[in-house]
Amino acid sequence: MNGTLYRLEARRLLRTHTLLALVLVFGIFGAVGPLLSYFMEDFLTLADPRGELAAMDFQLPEMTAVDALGSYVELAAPVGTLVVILVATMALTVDSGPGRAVFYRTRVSGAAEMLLPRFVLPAAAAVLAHLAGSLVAWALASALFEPLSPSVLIGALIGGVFPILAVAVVALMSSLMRNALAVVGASALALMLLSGIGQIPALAEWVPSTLMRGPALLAAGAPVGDLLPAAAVGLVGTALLLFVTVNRSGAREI
Amino acid sequence: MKHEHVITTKGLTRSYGPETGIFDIDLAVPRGRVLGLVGPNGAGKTTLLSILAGMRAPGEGTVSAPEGRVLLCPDVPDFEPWLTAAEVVALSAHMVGEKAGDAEIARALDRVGLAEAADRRNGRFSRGMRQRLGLAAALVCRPEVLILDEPASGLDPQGRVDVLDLITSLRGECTIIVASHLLGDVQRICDDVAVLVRGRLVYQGPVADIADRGRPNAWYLRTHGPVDRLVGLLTAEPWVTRASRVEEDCVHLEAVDADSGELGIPRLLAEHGMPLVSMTGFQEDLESAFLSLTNRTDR
Repeated sequence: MNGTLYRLEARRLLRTHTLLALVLVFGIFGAVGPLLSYFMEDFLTLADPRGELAAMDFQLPEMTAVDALGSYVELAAPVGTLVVILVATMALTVDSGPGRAVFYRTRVSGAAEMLLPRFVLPAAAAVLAHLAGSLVAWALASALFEPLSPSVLIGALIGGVFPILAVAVVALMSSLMRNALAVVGASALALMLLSGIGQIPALAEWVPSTLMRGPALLAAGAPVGDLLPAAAVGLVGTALLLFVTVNRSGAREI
Repeated sequence: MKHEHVITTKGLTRSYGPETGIFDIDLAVPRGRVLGLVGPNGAGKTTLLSILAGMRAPGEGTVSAPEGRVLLCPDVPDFEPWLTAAEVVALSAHMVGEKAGDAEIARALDRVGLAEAADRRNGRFSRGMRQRLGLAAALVCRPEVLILDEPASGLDPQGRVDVLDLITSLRGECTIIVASHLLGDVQRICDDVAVLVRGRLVYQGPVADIADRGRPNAWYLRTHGPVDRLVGLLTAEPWVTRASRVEEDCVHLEAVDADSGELGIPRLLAEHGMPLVSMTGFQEDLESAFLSLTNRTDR
């Protein structure tokens, strides 16, 4: 094994501007989330020029830094994850065409050598984008509302396990099907299902989709330990998914 | 002459249904030569090539492959579209651990006629250019066996000639297996040929031998003056199965076999003092031999 395929993936992220797109998407959500919370009252006033809501005695709760972080999560979790799926699919659907599959498969010693760089680099890019978005959201929330402890960012760091898991899900789907569109659809469906399971109170603590809310949970006063079960499940799940992916892909015939 | 074999298969079978796949293939690929693999659509060429390249597993039988590199160039190679031609070649070399520098990469691109496109991204290359790029990406890896699937199918006439010349020049440098529908190309560049029909190997041997099998047993004869007398003389010969006048000075003649006609026609004309202007075989190439083999198997 040499670093050639890792350099190729780094080049893909830079030359196709996918790293920039990822960081921009998460960064923009990191800015838009707190700004939406901060200007919520103004937006409602603009949307309700005749004061009908006010007449209904509608009371908007006062927004806090925790709400600002939560607003970022609500934007980044679905849309950001979809962008991560798209970026990972670009790298991982190596078998979508026989011409490209033959080019790589006749030159590598095994499926792991071919697939690991295609997992590692997009996953690292997704984590970087998630951290960038969280940092922007934390900084803006601190500036616009009350200052937040930097320890909140530990939640973002642990939350990075979820984008890694999302890329592993794409890897698995790309070993089960060849069509890129089908891989995107199946991956999105699987992660939506996971998110749905995370809504069950008894399981929420163990479901990795909870991790995206890491910064908001820590800002709200939850201990770091609350995130660890989901992080552990996410890491073990990632390892299992990669194991199955490498085996399935190694057995695939072109 | 006896050749050392770089790849051999014994009873190689991979079935996808009663008439689909390959069955009981005993193939021997001579080292350092160019082997043509021909057969009608669906004969199992791609399946056989994929197994030889390690892309598919055999169902039954064995494949004895070399320890060195076996590379397969598909008919439509595909690369990351945002890589330049030089980057594709460099990637190919570095993936297999070849320390190809700029000079080697430039030389590989030059050999396939892509020197001027070295710094262009391959995403907008034509199919022919991608085929050449696939060839350059393979050459730079110094393969022991190079398998080419329809290497000239997407090329313009000049490009085709260039690629065929390149394949010819690789003889001795590595062993080459070429699958092609263009039997003229196979006849031109290959030392040996293997014919697959409905998944079965119906012939394997030197191209010269199979072309010899396809020797014509029908000819057009041109002489000076009217040919009516000649038709009469030919019809009386026991080895002639059919003789008819085509034009004023031309006869179409069919014999029981090639040898009878090749010996009998000049003898008969000489005996009767009739000058021979030309004698053209009705079928005289690999194509006719191929059709004869495939039709015989189809029956």
